[in-house]
Amino acid sequence: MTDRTPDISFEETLESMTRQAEARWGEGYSAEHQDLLELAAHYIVNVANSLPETETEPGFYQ
Amino acid sequence: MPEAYTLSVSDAAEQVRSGQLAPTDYANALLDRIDSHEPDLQAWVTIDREAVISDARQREQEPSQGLMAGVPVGLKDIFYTAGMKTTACSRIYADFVPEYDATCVTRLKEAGAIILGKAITTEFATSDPSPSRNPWNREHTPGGSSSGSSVAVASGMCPAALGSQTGGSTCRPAAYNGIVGLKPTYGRISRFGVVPVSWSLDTVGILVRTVTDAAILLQAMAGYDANDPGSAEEPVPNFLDEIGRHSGPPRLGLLKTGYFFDRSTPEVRQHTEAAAAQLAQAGAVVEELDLPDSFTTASDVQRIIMNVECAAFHEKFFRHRADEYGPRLRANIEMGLLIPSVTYLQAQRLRREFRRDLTALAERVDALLMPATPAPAPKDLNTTGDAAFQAPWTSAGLPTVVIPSGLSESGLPLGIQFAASPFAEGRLLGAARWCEQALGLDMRPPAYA
Repeated sequence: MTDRTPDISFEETLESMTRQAEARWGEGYSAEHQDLLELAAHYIVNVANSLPETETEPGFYQ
Repeated sequence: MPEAYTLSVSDAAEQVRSGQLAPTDYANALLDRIDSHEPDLQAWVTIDREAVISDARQREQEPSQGLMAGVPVGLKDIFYTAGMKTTACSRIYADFVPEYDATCVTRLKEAGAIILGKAITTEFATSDPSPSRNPWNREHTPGGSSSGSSVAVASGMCPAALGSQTGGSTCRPAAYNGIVGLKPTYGRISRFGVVPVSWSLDTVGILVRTVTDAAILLQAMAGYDANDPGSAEEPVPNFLDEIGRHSGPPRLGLLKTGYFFDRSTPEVRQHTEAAAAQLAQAGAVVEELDLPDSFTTASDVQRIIMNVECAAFHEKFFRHRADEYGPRLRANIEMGLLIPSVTYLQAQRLRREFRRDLTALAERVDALLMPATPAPAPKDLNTTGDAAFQAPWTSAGLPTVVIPSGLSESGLPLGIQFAASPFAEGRLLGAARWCEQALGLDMRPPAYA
């Protein structure tokens, strides 16, 4: 059984990341670290759009 | 008689065992070599000359018949050494003196090795560049994070050194410095007493000048350790026998389409194809294989897992001492703190599927073959280069080995990388050794030959 691919957008993810980062490290953070936040959002969206098979458990110690 | 600093681990240990080479003479030769080249290359954090000579004398008084009898080895400065600073080249661990040796250090000593010193790493084995210089061209990065270890081996300061790999930190600098790098299967060598980057990715790496030497160090250190939760209970074969058993022309799977060739420079693509053709002409069976679909997210998965686990390890220090971290490591930790827990777990699940798919691919041949890096070492001391060709294998936990395969037009080393299924290091090293002999190269940096 395969999971349904979620509908998660890069823009929404980036906005959410930006809000969290500014809450942690102040309002200037997102302007200084835009590349970092975009990269993180990119990773999150790619993983969310490639979900594993339902039966797959996490790897951890291989 | 060749100069002592040119000896391989295999030859040096044999000469020590047969009484042709005194460990103190050998250690002194390497210490002199370090004195000569350290100002140029900056490979070492700590060298305790008196301790090295004292250990060498002890080896002479109680002759070791071990695999590494009287052979000095460098350690990346993340391996715990009892009574000797282990700084991880960081301000956070600047004064840390462990009370015990890492398990792999203990095992090296039991095999007769002498600890030569602690080699420079990038800060906490991540990506802020270290001051180490590439002996092939000091204006180019030596790579990282095992920068000092790789430079020391390439320039003849020691015949072997330990590194580690969480992304590409052993096999990439091996390629940039024209030496052999082995990243064993995850869990094959204990990480107990090794400063972590990411618990579920970290692997002890081996940096040497021949494939046989990689097998010797692997033999000395491999095996279960109850102190390491990631340690594998897999039986440890005799890797030198295994190399002998796999000494015929190998069956190689060339990963020519997609990820590896798409990311390589034209020069690297042509070089890898030429190397594959040379190996085929020498008798190897070379077939082209396609990567599984799960490869598309492999690098993203690796970055997510690494950054989240790195953030978890550093959180205690980072809350109050963030300013003491280098900018790249700081950014990695901050990213790790922002990644949702569900994303981390999905990455771990995807990784399990990826490992399954890559294992199935690797089992079709003796070894998968690809370029070691997308390009030779960049002319930029503000980077450690691109780990894209190592990170997927580290994520999957599969063993890889890099061997030098020639020079670029700019005179820098190029390498090829082999990968095999989990715990198939014997077959992997057998194939790599056959290829090493078929290519027949003797690569040494001209200024440090």
